Amino acid sequence: MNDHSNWLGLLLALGIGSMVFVPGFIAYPLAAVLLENGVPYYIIAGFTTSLMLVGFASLPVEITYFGKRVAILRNITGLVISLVIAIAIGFIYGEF
Amino acid sequence: MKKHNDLLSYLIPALVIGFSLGARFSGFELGEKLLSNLGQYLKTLLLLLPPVFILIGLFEVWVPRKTIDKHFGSSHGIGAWFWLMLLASTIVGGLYVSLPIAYTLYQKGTRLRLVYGFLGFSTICRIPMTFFEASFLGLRFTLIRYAIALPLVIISAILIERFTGE
Repeated sequence: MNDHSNWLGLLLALGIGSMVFVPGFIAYPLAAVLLENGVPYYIIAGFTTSLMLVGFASLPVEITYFGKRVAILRNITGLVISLVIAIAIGFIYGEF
Repeated sequence: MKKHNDLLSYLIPALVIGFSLGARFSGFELGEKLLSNLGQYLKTLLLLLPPVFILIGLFEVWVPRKTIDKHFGSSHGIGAWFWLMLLASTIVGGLYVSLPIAYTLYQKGTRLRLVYGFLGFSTICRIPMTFFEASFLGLRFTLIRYAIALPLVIISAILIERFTGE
């Protein structure tokens, strides 16, 4: 994930962030390490936000509580929100 | 829950435990990490969930439906979002804690958009998580994320309610 793979990197970050289940006390130190190694802020933002907002791993639990439609819609909107945040962070930090 | 789900919910943990134990004994370094992570998650879940369910139970018994309906029902004001955000920010853990709370709120007559909003808030503004984020990625990062995420969560909650009906 370096400067040359903007969109691919962001998509990858969103994808990984949505799939895995990592608690904050592991995710943020990891994000800081990535940052030190030259990963841009917007990719970090996409990763940490989708990590918290989207959880395909916990989808079955969500479905049992609120039904398929709501659970899927909530996760998709979560993904969109993560994307918006990542792009905004990228612009504000001057990475685009 | 359906039968094959039951089978899966035993099969997957069994595979994970089997793999990490196997890796542990064959000296594979990743295995030790897997096992210690697994232990940590299990400990968190076991320590966290019982008190959460006890508190939810007390909430169900002690808080009258009328109170919830008055503040979070169909005639809720803008303040309702704020209070739910405060409530959500105190949540420790993840969706496995906020989902049952959200469901209880719903059963007590909270309007669905507020319930979805609560779920969203609970993922983006948990206090311990915010501190972690601000200390590792900078306060500016956190503030920007909040400024963008909060309105979007409210909008998406309203949209989800619209699309799925009451």
